[in-house]
Amino acid sequence: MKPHGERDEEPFVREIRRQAERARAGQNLSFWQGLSLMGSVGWMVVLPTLLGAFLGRFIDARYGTGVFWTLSLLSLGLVFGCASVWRQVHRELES
Amino acid sequence: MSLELEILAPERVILRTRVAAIQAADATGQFGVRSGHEDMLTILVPCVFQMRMEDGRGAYAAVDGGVFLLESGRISVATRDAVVADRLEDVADRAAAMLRVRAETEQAARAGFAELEVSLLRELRKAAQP
Repeated sequence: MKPHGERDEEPFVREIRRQAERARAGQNLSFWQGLSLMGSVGWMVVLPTLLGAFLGRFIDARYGTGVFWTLSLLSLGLVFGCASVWRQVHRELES
Repeated sequence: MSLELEILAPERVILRTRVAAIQAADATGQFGVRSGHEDMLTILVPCVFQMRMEDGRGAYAAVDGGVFLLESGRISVATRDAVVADRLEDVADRAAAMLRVRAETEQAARAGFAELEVSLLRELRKAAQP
């Protein structure tokens, strides 16, 4: 017969390790890290959007298509920016 | 303002101190308690206690389940076993060491009992023979 303690021992230590690691990940994101994450998040949305808008304006001016390309490239840039923020935040939180 | 905290195992007091705040976990998940919290009683699952002391230092404990009672600013935790660590990184290793010691103690007790049983039988047999 196995001693009573042996049956419980691994799950308990595993659970403790898991919780300790999760708690540490929460602590690790310090004030400055949070701020820099926030800053990079802002730029990651703004830059692709602006880029799309300028490119769209250029195309519209050149081919005389009104605001069609400006608007569609602007929103495309916005979507792209949000998607890359989503990816980045996930990576940051996991590391 | 702070809370009095004591962690009790069957044969000893593991920790008796004052804390500013404490985090623990029961079946519904993690919860935190600060001073001024309503009295409560809950059943803990195996979890890591995250405590903030009165001086702002952090302290941690691995607790193997138990009962968590908060009554008028006083927390009593009755658990099978627990270990305290100053750093979060050490908590899991201490818990593993604690279980190793527990298994060894149990093994020793078992061996002692077996020995006792054998010698008892031997004495009985000796007494039964004329």
